[in-house]
Amino acid sequence: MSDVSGPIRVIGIGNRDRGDDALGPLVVDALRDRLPATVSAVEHSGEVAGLVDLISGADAVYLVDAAVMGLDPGSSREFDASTSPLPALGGAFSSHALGLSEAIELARALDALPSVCRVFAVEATSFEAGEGLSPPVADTLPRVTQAVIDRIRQESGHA
Amino acid sequence: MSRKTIKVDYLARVEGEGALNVTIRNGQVSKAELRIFEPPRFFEAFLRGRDYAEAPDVTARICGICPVAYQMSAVHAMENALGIEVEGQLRALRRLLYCGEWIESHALHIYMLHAPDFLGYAGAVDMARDHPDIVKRGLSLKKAGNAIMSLLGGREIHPINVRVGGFYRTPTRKELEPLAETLKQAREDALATVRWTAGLYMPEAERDYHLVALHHPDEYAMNTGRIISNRGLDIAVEDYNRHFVESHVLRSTALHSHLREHDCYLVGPLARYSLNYDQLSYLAREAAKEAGLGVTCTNPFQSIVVRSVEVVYACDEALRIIDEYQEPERPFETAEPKASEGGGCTEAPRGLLFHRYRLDENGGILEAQIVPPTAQNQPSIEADLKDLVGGWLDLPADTLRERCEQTIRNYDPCISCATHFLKLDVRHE
Repeated sequence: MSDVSGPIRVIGIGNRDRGDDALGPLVVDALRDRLPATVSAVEHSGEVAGLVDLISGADAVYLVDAAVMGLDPGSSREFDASTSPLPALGGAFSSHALGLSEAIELARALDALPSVCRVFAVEATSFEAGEGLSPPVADTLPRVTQAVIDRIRQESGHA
Repeated sequence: MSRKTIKVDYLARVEGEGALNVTIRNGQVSKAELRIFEPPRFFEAFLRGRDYAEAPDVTARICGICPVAYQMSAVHAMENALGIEVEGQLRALRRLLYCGEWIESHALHIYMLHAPDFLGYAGAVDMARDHPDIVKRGLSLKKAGNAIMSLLGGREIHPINVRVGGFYRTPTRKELEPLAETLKQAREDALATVRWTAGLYMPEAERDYHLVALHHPDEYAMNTGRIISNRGLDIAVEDYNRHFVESHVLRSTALHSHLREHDCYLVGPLARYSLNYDQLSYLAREAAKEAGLGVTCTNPFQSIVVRSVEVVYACDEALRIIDEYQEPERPFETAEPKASEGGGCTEAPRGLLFHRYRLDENGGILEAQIVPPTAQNQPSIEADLKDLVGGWLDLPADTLRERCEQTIRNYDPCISCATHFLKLDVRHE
């Protein structure tokens, strides 16, 4: 378990065993030894109560997740969720899709969202059990990792 | 080129979708059909050719909300096939793990999915703005369940420490101690949850259910027991397929389950509570009494109160198990693989979950059958709608649609129709 007590947190969301859903955890792996002590990188399943806790206790959070946005496979987008919800949230909950959007909005509703909350999303193509990353998402992995590092450096003077 | 619609981290964990078609003819409901799409059949094919020991880990991935249920039914089925007996503290630890899942799954449903229906919110986010302390209590309760699952299962979602015969590693007494403190607070939160849900507006909706649940002579059944009903069914788990039958219906990729001689039936909290009330802990029974529940409950809307009572029980039971825990001599029991067949049935948060496996002489899986509670309840959901919608036709269209969605969410269905994107197509003919 990574140290998550730091004020600046990178949270890689996903499941290593489900195709492109492994993106978030693999970005966390790629960030190891590339972040200063004040920045922690942690893998998370996306379970809503735990995620709200992780988000709420920080000064700044950088969340990385595979997503379905209707873009070309492997395309990435960065969202600033500190002042407004992620696109197409709609306030909906699913028994299976208790995801990132809902955790962010719950933290916001509970007045516990950090002033910095950025989401790096990569268009996924496959969530098959037992599969690895698809080639387009694998190609994007280093770029997203670097984008996270650059953003933290820009916003906090770290890294 | 990107399209206008952007959905972030949403469909990634969606494992189905739901739609409802209600047909009203001459002011009467002539048809109520729930269409759902559910993936477990894929897993059954996926399991064929795998080793018997892989079943708990593979099936745990069927559902992110109730992985323990899948693991438990899988290991009991395998142990039934191979002749393994799991008793004593290993059995108690399994029960403790199941308590964790009941707590986290019920808390999730009560606070995040179901309560917004009763309070008129689109979802838990809106509810959190007006009722932050209530939502915080729900999240805290869910985390207490997660804590049990993390400790015993190895991680919160898709636990990896469960194996056929027991666990890969069992905890020390010292490791369990902090859980007790967490659970004492959770029990207080659970009692507050019962009081809170008891005060919600409940539509009048008594139903004449055929209630089916596990029953164990010595405990509120979770992992083992016989399958009983309020209409005289009393069978061994191994005889499941003699009494229950699955059938395809065009509108759903999920098979519908029926009792061969009695048609549709209900599994889940209302069935467990009504059939096994006497075996709840004193505190849970007192909480139920204070909430105005009788010794049985057949109003599906009151399932939110019954789930809350079950959370009290699960906290109580978990504390009892931790208090009496002694580290077992070995973490698991073993047996040689053999050509065999076995069934296992446990009480998932949503109800009865049946697994059956046929193995070859090396323990390879030749055949797998998984019957999830949502498939079993699907005909009952439709029967509720057919029976109840007729009394609501005077409601405005939006209110009627919301009431229908709430009727479905009463079941905590383990599909994405538990969301608010249910499409309701009401036809007046």
